[in-house]
Amino acid sequence: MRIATTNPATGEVLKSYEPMSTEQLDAAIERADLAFRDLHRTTVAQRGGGWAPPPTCSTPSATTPPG
Amino acid sequence: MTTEMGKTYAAAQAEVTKCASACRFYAAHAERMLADEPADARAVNATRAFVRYQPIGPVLAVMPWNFPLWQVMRFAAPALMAGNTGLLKHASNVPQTALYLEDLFRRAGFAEGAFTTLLVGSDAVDRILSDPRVRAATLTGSERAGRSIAQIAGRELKKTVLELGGSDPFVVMPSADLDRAAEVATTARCQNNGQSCIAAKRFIVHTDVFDAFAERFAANMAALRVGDPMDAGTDVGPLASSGGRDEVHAQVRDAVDHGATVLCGGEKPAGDGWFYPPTVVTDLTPQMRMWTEEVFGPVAGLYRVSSYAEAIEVANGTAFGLGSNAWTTDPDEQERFATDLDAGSVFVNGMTTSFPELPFGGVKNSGYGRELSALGMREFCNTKTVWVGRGEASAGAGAHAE
Repeated sequence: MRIATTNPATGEVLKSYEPMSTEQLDAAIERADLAFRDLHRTTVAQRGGGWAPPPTCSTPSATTPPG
Repeated sequence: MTTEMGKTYAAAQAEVTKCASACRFYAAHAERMLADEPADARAVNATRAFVRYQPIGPVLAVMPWNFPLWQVMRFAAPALMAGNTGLLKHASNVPQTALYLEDLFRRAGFAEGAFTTLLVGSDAVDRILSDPRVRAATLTGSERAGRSIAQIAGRELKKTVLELGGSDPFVVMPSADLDRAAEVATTARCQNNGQSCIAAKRFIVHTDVFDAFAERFAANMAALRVGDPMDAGTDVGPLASSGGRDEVHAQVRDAVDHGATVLCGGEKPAGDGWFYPPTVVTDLTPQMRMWTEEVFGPVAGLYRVSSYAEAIEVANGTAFGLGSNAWTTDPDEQERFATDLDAGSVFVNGMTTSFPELPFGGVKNSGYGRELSALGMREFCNTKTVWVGRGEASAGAGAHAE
């Protein structure tokens, strides 16, 4: 099925997208795997950002959401 | 969302708010939900024993178009808080919402790869789920899509959570507040232009109050304003696709051809857009498609029953078991419905909905596993048993039972 935005109120096709290539898909899975290795080492508090209690671990991480 | 799948702008705003609430809920409670759970060390002859919840890896999320933000966030918020990463294969008609979600996680501070939108067709799902780096899958969608994912996951021995279709019963008993029941029934059927898996679809009404309920309900349904989903005065926008509308209309025509009566609606309007009027159909019989099939549009089926036992029989008489609703002020009856309705949830004197605080999911062909609450977060965790002993001698290989 075509990847596209079609406005149901008018039937007009507004925007279409080309599907990712196999190479792009493989690279995306690789990034998800690499990101997992980083993310699972962060604390729950770091992942929760400003709504959770402050991080107990002081290790700086690129995955820390802003407070 | 409104431009991609037709829900009213007000419904889109409500969906965004719901997503934010779920994120706040998990941000506030995830630490407690994921904390080590101590066990009775003495009972297991240990110095220390506990359960530790750990993430399992990249999770593939195959998601539908009807709540294109919420269905993703209810997976992603707990899964990422638990330390997993997400790969989203969204429905092909909501690509802009899908790309917005990836952008949202990046702007929230998550690293590249923590949440990725894959612009691919359904034919890529087998390849993704077969990849050894992808550890599990969650799917919200049709029964057919669920079977397909489960088949691949079975072959690959990967964990899945499936939230599939529903044909939720809405039972009205003689003691119910009929005005309120008819009002809530209208919302329960027509929310999201009638395209919700937990919409009430089969209205099972005791014969003592059937006519009174049917009159009120049909009047409410007929009064809903169908039109431009961007207009604040619109209650029901268009269906998401031309094919979806054709299917709904075919189900209504099939019922009428087999002797059903239309109390309101039932005609496909001319003109642009995939609009369909709120419709109430009664005098249903098991020969009609509507009796057992899910109707994914603003079409309600009315069923007359003469006892509690018959109400339960009809309510449980489909292959689905997602949500269920029962209207009664009799405390004993409320208790019986809670036990006897064969579904993942029972809502008494209200309508089935979801809360971050409560588990959400189905039984039978509506799927398995749970989303939301602590249970939803733990679906994609390794529930690890940790046992620390004193290094004592064993009973010997010949005298040990697993």
